Amino acid sequence: MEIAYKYILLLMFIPIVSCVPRNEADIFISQVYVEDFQTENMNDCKPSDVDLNNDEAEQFFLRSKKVEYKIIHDHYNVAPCYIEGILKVKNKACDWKIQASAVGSIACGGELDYYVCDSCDDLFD
Amino acid sequence: MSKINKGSTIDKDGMLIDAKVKLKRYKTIEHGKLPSVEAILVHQTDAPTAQHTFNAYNAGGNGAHFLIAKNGDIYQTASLSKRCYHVGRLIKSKCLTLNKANCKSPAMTKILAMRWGGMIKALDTHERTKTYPNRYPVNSDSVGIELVGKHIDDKTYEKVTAKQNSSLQWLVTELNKHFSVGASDIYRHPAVSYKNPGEASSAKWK
Repeated sequence: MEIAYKYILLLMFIPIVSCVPRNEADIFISQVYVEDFQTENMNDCKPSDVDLNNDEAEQFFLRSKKVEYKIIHDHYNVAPCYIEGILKVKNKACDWKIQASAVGSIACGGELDYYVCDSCDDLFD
Repeated sequence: MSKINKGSTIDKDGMLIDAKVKLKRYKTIEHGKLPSVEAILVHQTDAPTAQHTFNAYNAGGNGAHFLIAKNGDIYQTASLSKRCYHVGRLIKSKCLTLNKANCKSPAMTKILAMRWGGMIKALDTHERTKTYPNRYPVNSDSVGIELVGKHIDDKTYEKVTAKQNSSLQWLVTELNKHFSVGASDIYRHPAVSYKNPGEASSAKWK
């Protein structure tokens, strides 16, 4: 009886788990467009160092996790160049940046969220 | 134990003994022995108060040997004979930064042709074959000093207070006496690894 009860619980749990998105960006992000490239020094960090197209930029945020800036401060590299563009979050127009170090941010209506991607090496190759 | 005339001492546990230093050691941020002290790195915490950093240190992980609060209070948070994770995994190339002309070699040419992500890893590997001071300091030959202060944006941190700078100057002077670390051996964190360029930019120690 106990085994049957656990089995029912497991069956109930599987669909819930399978529907959980990787992060909240999965649900909300759309219309991601790359618009520009910025660098502090073209010799150190070039357009080819962060050469993502629209789909790849969207992929970056889908694969990323949202973090507090303190996590970036402690554990991630900051690159001197980035691409930037626009996207929609819940149908609201926002600005985004993706650095050559696979650190990103989305700025929406005065709020700034940071993202890091540990599985995006292919996007920067 | 070393002793400096009319100044601070370092006890057998690697703690700096002086009335100006509050001992608040967190073994949770110590990671093995610190074989030598060749350099000092100046950081900012990205936290609003010292207590925020103490709370984080309680949980363990990254940290530095000293913390200077906004009111100038100096805390020693790790032993000077223990290593802390404060530099970052990848160090920059010192010769590329300071003397690019003297940095040329076939290996360096190959590295610089790489994309940024691969380049910074290859540079780190290349640099770690050198000894200090021919490369930037790493965790195993440097002491870290944290100044309480939040980041503001991608290029800026809170300004370091006058009291923090005064305490930093005193602390650096004392550490210089104990470890013979010269003015050229003191670095802001972003000079050494790939960090927000605003971190510790308003810190002054001379």
